[in-house]
Amino acid sequence: MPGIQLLILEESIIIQHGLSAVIEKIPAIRDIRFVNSSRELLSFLKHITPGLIILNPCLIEKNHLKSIDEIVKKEKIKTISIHYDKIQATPSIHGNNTIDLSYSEEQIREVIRAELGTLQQEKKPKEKETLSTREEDIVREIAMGLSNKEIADKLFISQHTVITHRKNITRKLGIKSVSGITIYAILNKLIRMNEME
Amino acid sequence: MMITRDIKMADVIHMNHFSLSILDRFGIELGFGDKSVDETCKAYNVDTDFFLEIINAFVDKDYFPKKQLQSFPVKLITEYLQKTHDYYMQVKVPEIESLIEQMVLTCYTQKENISLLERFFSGYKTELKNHIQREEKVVFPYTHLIENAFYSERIDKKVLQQMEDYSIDIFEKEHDDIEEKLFDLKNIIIKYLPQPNNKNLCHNLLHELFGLEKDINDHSRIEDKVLVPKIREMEKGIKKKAGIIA
Repeated sequence: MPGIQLLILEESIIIQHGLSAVIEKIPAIRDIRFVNSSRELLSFLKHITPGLIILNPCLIEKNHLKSIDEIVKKEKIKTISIHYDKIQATPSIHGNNTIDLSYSEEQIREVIRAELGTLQQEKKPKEKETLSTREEDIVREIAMGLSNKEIADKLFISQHTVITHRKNITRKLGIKSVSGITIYAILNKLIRMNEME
Repeated sequence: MMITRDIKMADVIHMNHFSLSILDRFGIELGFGDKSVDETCKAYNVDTDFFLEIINAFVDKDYFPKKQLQSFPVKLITEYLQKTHDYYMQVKVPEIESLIEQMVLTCYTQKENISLLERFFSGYKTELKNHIQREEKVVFPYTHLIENAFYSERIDKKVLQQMEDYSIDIFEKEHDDIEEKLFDLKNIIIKYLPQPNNKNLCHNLLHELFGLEKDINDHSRIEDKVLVPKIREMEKGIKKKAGIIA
């Protein structure tokens, strides 16, 4: 676990410092960054994907809301809202956990740990990087020039399953194109050169 | 570090020698002594601000003040893009082809596998050529048409008809990921190809592929982030003028 990057959207310097003093004691957090406005948040998100964002929902301008929400959902970024005493509109940013400013140090850390907990669990099952036997079967068929539908029919699986397999193959091998996968198949003797064509 | 008009042109090359190819596209030749970026550009009749935007975007991929770059004429941008096309087809691709050819000739451990790379790259070349032709024959002329219409007093019906038939949105949609196969080829060599006996050639090839990929990435970034938004704005402006949209 290389540590999680945390982004805080808050303009009050007191709250910024307060939060970071509390959060620094959580070892899983590697890096804390601050932004003052939703514009800044958005441009930050274009370059870097943090694991978690703690945000003051009042600072999110209406015209940024949709784009921020989309990125958060797409990149599966966890979010926690800071809850102030005053009445506020509920934000429609994905994720519902809140930190209330009246919370104790331990309560705040608990909320964050709870969010991080789900983050760490979700990251785990990605480990194996070698192709499974089934994926090798698919690679062979792709290299022979079969379409998704043809592969599905031949191996008695749905097209949807074929597509999922292909996505995983591309991720594991770092090869996207059919001709690239074909070379991989030949180099790894999944097919012989004279089998093609 | 950001490149500014006052630093020495020589230092630009020292900072990142890949910039050489950019200078070449602007027609700037080596031997600039201690001249600054601005002085060198002036000597070659190059718009310094435009040069700075292009070189900074190239050196630092996160640098992108598109607002500034957007103030340049469309012609300047497409001329630059056109020059990068020439550079790919006339310099880089032949270089890579000849490297692979040499590899096939001098390889005795796995000639067959290297021939596969040769075939793969030749497929890529065709793809790149089609991509470039499409841009030069369809996209660039369209952008010039839009720019002219945008600055003219009255909007010609023909222009509106052409905007009906084609729009920059279509370009954006069909603008495919031309780096994909280069990425594959790199990974095949790095991860899966058993190292051939002529490994120096192989390393050179890899080096060239990284260079070309970086350059094409930069090229697409300028198309997608500068050219497309600029033309889209102009299309809107023309429609407003013609009274099609409010």
